Amino acid sequence: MALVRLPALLAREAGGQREFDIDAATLGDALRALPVRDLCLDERGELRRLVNVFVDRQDARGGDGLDTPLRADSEVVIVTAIAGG
Amino acid sequence: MLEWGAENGRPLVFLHGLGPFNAGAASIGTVAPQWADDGFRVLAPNAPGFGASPSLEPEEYSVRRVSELIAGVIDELERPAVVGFSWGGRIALRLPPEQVSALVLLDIGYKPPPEFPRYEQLVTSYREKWPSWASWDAFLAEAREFTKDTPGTEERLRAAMTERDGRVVPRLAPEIAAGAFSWIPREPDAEWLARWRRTPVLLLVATEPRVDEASVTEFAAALPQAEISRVPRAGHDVLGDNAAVAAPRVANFLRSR
Repeated sequence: MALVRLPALLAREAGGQREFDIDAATLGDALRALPVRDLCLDERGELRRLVNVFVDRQDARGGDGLDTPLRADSEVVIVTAIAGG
Repeated sequence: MLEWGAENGRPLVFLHGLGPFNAGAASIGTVAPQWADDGFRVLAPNAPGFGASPSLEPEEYSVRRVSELIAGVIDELERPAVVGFSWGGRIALRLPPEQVSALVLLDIGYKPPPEFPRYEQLVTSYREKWPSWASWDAFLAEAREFTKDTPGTEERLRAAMTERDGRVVPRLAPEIAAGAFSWIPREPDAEWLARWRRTPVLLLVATEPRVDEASVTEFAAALPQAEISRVPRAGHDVLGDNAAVAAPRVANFLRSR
């Protein structure tokens, strides 16, 4: 089960839950399983512009995107792009 | 470079973070006047490619290279305090410690950097998907979904964007973002920490989510003299998310050193 971590703003929309264990083969599958999927994915089902996602510490947006494969012990960290880094 | 405060104030140099929505030097537009009121002369240079600063070639955006350029600014001042947020904090770690009177790191330096793809892959992806909006209202409405409603938020958001070909887009070019991000995993911070053992150091740490304590412990071991302070109700952007707590902590730390 991949572990998906939400930033505080999204966790608030998920009833305060910040971590989700999700059985998913790809990043896209994992995001679609979240209760806050509409904040992560746009109407075309693509990653929203103001959301960045790291899979096992790698930036998914610059790699395979929503097709990024997940392992059973993968960690998915969602961050809002606004904060930068 | 943006400046606030009296010319004879104690110099405080702020180094901004990285990202398409980072307003560069303008990102402390709300906080800097507070520091100026505290007696600091606040100087915030725009890194290459931000604000009016000319860009480098994408392959030149190593943290070390940018730090060398910033060192030229520091050199003109008399041992300023340096405050660095995220990428700016990583730049700060590579400055000559003998030129800095005190160092403040905003949520950086204590954890290994994330991995980014190589430049070629990043720039292709960024060029294809660089964000844009049809109007300022559309951008701000969406941005508000992902930001805390804190003082200065809208000003910072606007300062990071511009209009191009009828669309609202980040001022930062995708090539520059790709260049800087692609360097990040190649330059770990740990080897630079020990150089700061004789300098007063404050690390402000995010709490939403709560950070990996092991990383903070490692940081403390590398810099035993450092003060480590967790900013409540703050994500990575500790100043933006909770300036009411973070800004005075910076000022109070610097005042006593």
